[in-house]
Amino acid sequence: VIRRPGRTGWIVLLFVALAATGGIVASQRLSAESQFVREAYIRAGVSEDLLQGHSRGRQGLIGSLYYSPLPTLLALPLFRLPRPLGGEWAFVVLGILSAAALGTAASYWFRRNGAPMLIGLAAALGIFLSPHLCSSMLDGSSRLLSAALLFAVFCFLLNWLSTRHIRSLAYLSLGLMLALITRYQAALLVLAALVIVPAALLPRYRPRHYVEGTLVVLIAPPVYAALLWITSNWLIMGDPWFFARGVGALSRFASKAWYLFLEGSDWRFALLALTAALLPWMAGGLSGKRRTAAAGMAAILVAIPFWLPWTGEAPVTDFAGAELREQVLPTLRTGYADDWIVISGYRGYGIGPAGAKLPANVQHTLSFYLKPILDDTHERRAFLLTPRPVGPDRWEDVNLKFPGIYENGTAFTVYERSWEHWRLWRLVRLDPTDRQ
Amino acid sequence: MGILPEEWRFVYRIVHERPEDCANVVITRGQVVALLALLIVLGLGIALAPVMTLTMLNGLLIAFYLVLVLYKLLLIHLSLGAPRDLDFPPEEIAALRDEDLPVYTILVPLYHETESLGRMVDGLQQLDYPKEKLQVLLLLEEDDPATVDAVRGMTLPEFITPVITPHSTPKTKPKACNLGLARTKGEFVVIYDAEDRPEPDQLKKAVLGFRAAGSETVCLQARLNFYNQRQNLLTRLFTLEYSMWFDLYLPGIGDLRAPIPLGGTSNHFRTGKLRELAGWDPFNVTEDCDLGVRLARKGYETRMLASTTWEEACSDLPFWVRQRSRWTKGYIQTYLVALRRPFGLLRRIGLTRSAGFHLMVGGTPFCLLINPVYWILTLVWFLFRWEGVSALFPFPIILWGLVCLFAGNFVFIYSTLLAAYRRGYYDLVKYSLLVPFYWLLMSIGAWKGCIQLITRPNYWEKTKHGFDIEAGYREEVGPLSGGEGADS
Repeated sequence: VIRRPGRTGWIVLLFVALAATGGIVASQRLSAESQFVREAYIRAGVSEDLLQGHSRGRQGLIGSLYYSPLPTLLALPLFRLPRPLGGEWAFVVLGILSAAALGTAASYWFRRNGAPMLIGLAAALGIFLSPHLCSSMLDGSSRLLSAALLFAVFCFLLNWLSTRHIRSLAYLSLGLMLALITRYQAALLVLAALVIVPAALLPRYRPRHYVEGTLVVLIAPPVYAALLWITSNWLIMGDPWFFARGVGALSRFASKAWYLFLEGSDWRFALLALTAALLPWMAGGLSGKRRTAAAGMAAILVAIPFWLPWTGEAPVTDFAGAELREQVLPTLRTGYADDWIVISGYRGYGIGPAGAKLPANVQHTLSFYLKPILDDTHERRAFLLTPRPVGPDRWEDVNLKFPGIYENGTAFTVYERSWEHWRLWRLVRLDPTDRQ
Repeated sequence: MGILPEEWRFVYRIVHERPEDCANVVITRGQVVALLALLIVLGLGIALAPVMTLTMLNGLLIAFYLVLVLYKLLLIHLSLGAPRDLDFPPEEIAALRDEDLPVYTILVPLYHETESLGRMVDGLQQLDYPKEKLQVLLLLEEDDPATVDAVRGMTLPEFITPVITPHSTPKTKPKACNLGLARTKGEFVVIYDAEDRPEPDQLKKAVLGFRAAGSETVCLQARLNFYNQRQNLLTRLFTLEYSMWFDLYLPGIGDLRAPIPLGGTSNHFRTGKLRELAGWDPFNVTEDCDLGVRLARKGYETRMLASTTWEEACSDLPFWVRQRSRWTKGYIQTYLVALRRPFGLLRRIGLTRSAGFHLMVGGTPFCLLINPVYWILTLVWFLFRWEGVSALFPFPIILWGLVCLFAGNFVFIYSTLLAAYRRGYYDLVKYSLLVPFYWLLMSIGAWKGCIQLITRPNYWEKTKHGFDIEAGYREEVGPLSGGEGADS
């Protein structure tokens, strides 16, 4: 007897089929020499440190808004597996699974709102196989994890608005929590939900406790995640707001603060996730044949932008990383073999594939507390390597703690030499603010 | 009317006919040997390779926690969806004709319950069921003259009959219930405690439920909740726990068709099938949970009934701890009885469902017992950064341990919060954030129960009722539909 799969069975089957398709696409397009985005190498470095029990791994896991913890934690169980599942490839696997989840959820959402099954499935496949999704799926970034979570958040929010069902509210809040520890910009969504949900309750009188209870259910998970992040920074970094230093630094860029806040948020995916949730939902509000036609049309409409070229979407080449790997480190390895070089922040991880290691004389620190490192220099010369403060390097600890160090140095450094994206400073004395 | 010999024999039928199902022997010889062997292996391991042994043990416990968290997440997911609870609209209930209804027996065990008698009789009279088809048996105890005299002093309606159980050991509620079952005339039978307030249409819903569910469904469990939720902090937290158990976990278990650990009251049975099972185990102090397992082992099904019985939450901490200790002791008793034939349940209900039994009946008390160990370890590590603790948590145990600590505990707190919201206790939602303190109390009760399992295995820790009356607390009875239904 062949059992026909039920609704849950189809969802699982579709997810597995999409994940397998993603695996096939990856096997065709990627090779052992493939390069991934800097984020993948940084997260891989953090994972390596975590697995070795290095305190730097714990610091790296929680010490930055930019490299938020969830993607690293999700890929960590895979990290020790042999390639093409482990190492940096774990983040590709995470991308494939996220894309499969997104495709499956989209198909379910289209169908649920009245789209004919085949059209819903075709639209979901269209999204899944689109160039933008495929390239993001294989670059090792966490943008698809974020996109899948955002799509889920939008769907649950819309579903709650229609049904007031407790499960939708609960999953909305859990989705917000996960989205927040994937991309910090999801904090904006939390705020939006805090406006939309009470606003939706306004038209009818409801007891105060009902509104209060609804808000507690909504807000508890994201607040818990935020508190956990803050507490872990307090325990591990000694500063509860260490991970959020960059936000404070935004004030220096007042004119483009919003742009910088959204930088790295993959707002295009966020917008498409919102559209993919919203249009079918609106169509689902119609009745009869109009509903089916509109929902089918909506499903097709939301798939189209995934196939259009996106302006400004040129792949971000990590010039600084390439330069570090190809020019800076060889120079440091040979020309400064007897000296200590300190490289601070996540930049120390992002030098490329796992094979590309830092030379033995280069010390990598995340906390930028130099004293313990300098105590070990044994009278050797010590240098500080600083990246040009552009792109993500703007938020590196060294650039946040000493704004202008790249251009002008500081009172405790003397210029040594520079490359296009890097400068080397000799440490002449200890930073007086350095914690003991 | 005195007790007939065959009725008395029926009370202890399980002891003679199904000794393997009876908790009169706490632990069998085979189980003692297995336990000793396990302890010896563990002891040797600790003596020869302490770090490795303890690390492995720690890994197993963390794995257990993870599985428990995932299972409870699944239960919550299912019950927040569209659970299989049997529910019927008021029109369908109103359409029932009296002549079509069967005789229904209600067993009310009473022991030191003089305070609750008046409102109990009021509650029974308010039941929406033809009184000529009701048989209510008040199960009194010979050594409780106060309650016996109080009942004698009352003018009872015709459908209520007192039955006095002769003084004997074990002095347990299931023993009295078995005597009641021997005298049951109804096609269906239900147990209510003295302080219970079932929703008036519960019996009719149960009749419809039995008719709709089919003959394999032998038991319907109504939801339990409290009418003195807001009496004090303890009753608030207790209410949250009950809401989680009866509104989130049990409907989820029902969805999975795994054995439902029955609650102490408001279990409706087909009388014939219950007699076939030899009734309750008079030696088990959570005879309800035990019966749920025996029903599943026999291949019968238990379903949840969408009707609430309102009870009194114990508002006095020492009595609450006693009640909790009895529950934990009973769960362990039940688990030990079930483990006498570990593969019997597996063969009968399959791997997934029997895993549900192990997690809920075995896992719940086990979790309460080992929780303090991990709390202490966590505290020691945070305060002293003791390397001995770190050594027990190599990767990946530390990773999964942290998942349990931060995600697992959050899941339990958040599910409590959802349970309050779903029940419509919106003002109690915020109290969910205090449940970690309640877990501490639960663990204290669990350890007391565990120790008592060795010292006084069949002793029944009586829960005192009537604290709400003494405190002048006004009952708050409200329907579940006050929850999410408030908006629809």
